[in-house]
Amino acid sequence: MEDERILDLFFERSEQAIGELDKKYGAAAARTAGNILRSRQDVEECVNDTWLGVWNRIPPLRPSPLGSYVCRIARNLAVSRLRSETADKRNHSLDLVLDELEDFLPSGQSVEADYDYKETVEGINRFLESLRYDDRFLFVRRYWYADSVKEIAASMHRKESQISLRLFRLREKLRKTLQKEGLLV
Amino acid sequence: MNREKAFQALNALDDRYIAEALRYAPEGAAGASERSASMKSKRIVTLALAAALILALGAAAWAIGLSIHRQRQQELRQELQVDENRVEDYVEYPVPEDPEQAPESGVTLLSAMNDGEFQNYWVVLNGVTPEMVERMAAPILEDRDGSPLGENDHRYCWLYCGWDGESWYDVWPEGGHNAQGIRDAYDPETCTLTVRTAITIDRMPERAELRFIIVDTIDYGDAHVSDGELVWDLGSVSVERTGQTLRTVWFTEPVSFENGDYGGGEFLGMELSASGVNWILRHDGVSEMYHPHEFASEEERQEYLALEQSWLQAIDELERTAVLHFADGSSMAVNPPLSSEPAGDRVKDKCIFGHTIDPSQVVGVTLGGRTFEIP
Repeated sequence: MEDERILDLFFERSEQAIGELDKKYGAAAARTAGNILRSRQDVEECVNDTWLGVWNRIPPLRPSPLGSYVCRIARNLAVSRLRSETADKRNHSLDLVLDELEDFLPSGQSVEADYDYKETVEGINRFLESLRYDDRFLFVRRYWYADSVKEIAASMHRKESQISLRLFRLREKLRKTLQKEGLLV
Repeated sequence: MNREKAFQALNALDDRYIAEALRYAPEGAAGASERSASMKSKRIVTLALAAALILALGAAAWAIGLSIHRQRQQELRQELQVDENRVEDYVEYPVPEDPEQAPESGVTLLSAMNDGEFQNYWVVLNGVTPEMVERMAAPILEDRDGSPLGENDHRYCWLYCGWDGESWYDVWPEGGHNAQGIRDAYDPETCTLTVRTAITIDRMPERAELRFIIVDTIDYGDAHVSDGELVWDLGSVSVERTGQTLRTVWFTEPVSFENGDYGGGEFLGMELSASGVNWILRHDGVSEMYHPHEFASEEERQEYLALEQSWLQAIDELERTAVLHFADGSSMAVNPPLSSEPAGDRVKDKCIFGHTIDPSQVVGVTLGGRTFEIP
């Protein structure tokens, strides 16, 4: 079913909306949460919480694209759950992804840290805009969805080593882009 | 930037990119009019081989009297600099010489070239009607039931080829993987469309019956070519894997490099072809990197990936310094590799030039700041 029709069902407060949303984006939401949470039960609960979150927000919101909105809620809920459950422990897959990027982003230690942050977000979005589809897919799957290199390699029919190398080059490119824009020393 | 800020910065990525990455869909990422942005990297590299071909298409007045197939072959030879560089790996197939003998339907194989990474085929699709061309070139904004498509849904009609009915490979005109490319590559007088495909070498069997189809696909977020609606079957053609001629060069002294605690390695030599170079190297991590692994835990797997990445980074840094020197005094930087292939305790890193050269004219190579003369 098209996104617009699903949104109409939400606006009509029809419970069919959840079923259709689950049918269309259930797998994507579960995968997004599953990359952050380890327990299958946690993932299922997180997806159910996502549907509840969407139900509570639509209406009045009418998000577009709907798919990324759903995944964004699933990701945030998964991270909140992870934080409450693991306290000071580090989640390996998510932390590894952040570790990879940490050195390629501005330090944020300056007095203009908040300004830097906003500029950095815009800089990353501009960087993504400049990439070819394959590279953008790779970057977003790794650093937003926190997919493993193996999963990305499988979905793109490439070798893991090729994906690792490409990610490395993309991080370098990001660093250079941010340096060029004066966002990274 | 601390981890929390980094997390937040990533969280704020534009919705478009998050939605776009819900599934891998290079052929439908941006709709028919913007397909060039969705081309796979492998194709982008090889595409440059004949980027200007389209200028020659339709402008071959000198070739009047020959069949369209023969004209296209001659244009390709010129654009790929086959004669100039004495490219042995470029294989041309017999085609009708006389326009009167030209087939009215089916697929005519023009030529093939193995560039080490891909098996490239150039074909003429016969009996292509203006209706087919417009169906591929015009944007489709409606669902099959006539209702408008959602903002993030894409419907497109495109060319694919394959031999087992399951895996399909993209087909595109040299002039561009987009509407204009299709229109430009079409010759309405002969009802022919000249296109190309590139199949990853390790997936290409020795022989195959390559079938060309036009498929109408609607991408709601999980569609695939095989889920699409077959609109036209343009026929098939028998193809075979072609060979690649390599000139092997061993460096007089290996070029050594270090990779911190992981150890070190050395570049021993290279294999040159008309379309690329394979670096031959050996390093401490080879046995771990290129042999099947079973991981006891996710942590172990991540450690392995860290090792692999570290080696790739160290090797990549050196390979980026590579320059080939030619007998006429010119030189050329080498693209970074697309893939690696283990060979015993060694590895071959495969790089594609994106155009052809005459390997016999390479008289020197610079790698890691050192220049070797090649006898």
